[in-house]
Amino acid sequence: MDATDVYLAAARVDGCAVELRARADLVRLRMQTTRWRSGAATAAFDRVDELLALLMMSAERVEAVADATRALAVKVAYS
Amino acid sequence: MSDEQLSVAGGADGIVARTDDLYALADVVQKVRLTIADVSATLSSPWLRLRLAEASRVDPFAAVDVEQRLDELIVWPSPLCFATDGATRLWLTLLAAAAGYEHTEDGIFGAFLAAVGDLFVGACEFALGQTDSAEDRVFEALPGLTPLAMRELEQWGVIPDPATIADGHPVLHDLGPDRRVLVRTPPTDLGDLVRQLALRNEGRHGEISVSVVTDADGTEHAIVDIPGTKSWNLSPNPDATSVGTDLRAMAGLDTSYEEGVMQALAAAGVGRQTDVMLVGHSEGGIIAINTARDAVRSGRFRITHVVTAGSPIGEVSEQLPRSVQVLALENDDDVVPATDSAGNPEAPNLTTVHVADEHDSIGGNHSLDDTYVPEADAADASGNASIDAFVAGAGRFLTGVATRTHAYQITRGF
Repeated sequence: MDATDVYLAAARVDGCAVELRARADLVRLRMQTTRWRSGAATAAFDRVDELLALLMMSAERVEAVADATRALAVKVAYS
Repeated sequence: MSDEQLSVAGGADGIVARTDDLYALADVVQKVRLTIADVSATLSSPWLRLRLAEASRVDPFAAVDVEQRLDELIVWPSPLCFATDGATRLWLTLLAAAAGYEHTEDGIFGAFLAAVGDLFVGACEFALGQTDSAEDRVFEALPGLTPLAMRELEQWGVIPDPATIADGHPVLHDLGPDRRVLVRTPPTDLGDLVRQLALRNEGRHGEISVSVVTDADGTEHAIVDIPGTKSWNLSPNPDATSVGTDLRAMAGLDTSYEEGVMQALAAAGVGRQTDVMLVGHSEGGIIAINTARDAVRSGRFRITHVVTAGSPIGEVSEQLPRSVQVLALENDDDVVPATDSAGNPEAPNLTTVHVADEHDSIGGNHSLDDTYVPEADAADASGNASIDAFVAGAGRFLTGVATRTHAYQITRGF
């Protein structure tokens, strides 16, 4: 079998983590330029931090899987 | 009063731009949802799994470990699943908030302009001696002169800060027992509560009532009916319901109307051990919330339930103790509940019932008889779990075998 395919698999997983972090950054940037007020929007803004935390936690776990996949690719390459 | 509150009424730096901001943020959050869906699809793709299956020939344990970790990422409960759920709720909340502000903006200025027109025509009719139609017209204008419109006028310097509005002190007038058939009949559901409030609303300016409902076992519970604004006169005047009370109450300040309600409870012999339900329309709903807040905090009365109809309680109810159960009836076509620019908070003790009931008039959309009595009846029949839970919690107010009602009038003294 070709180790390149497994490297590519790791890269795809890594790409998922990059996408999640990028989306979190875009939410953060949009938040900085959003003028908000009290009332109904308060509930929404309370949830933004929660969402950002979940995105970052997900990204970290996806990166860990990418690392493990990359380690597997190394083993395949030297097998 | 904060800038955020004032800005809701529009103006140069007003609601449109801020609503656009909310829509833009909603769009970004929507893309987060799509990205998470893409990520989940990638992590569960056959192509990826096939690569891992091939690699398992070299190190089966490591390949299985990676597969398990992939599964843990995409199968509930995982942070990615929670993020999907959170992004969906956030997206919907942002859209609802933006739409709510748009509704407020559209409604409030239309209502305000219509109210100004009604007042002008009413003044002409007064001048011509057409008193009855003039009074009707002015009354029709009242819902348009809502606190939010008043806040805008305050920003222009036309009216003063709520805290500086002279509110005087309450003067309680005993109007005696009310023995009308509808009043004598113990209420059994939300519809009955709002029907009795509508009857009280037909009374004098500042007229409220305290009904003591007696259970089969002799236990007494008190229900207070609190109608809304009856005068748009902002200058110091004896009418405790006049619009200065709206402004003060919306700002969370105490009012003569509120203190008058407490004095009426005491005059009716309601003690600290008696459960009390407050039922208010429009301004009366704000007064009900503020009264419950202050009475519970001070321990002066045991207010356990509040029912409001067409009242802007989004902001004031934030300060309400959780021990008070609230059911708010709101017609989405009625501009008054939206005038505080705040959606009602999502809380276990606050159930908001919405309907869309267009009557082609401000007064009709805000009317107890035309709008809120039918909405209360519909709520009773809905079978909705939250409504049923509120009604069940309020059960002892609605299972009485006898009731006696005493009417009072609250005026302002200076």
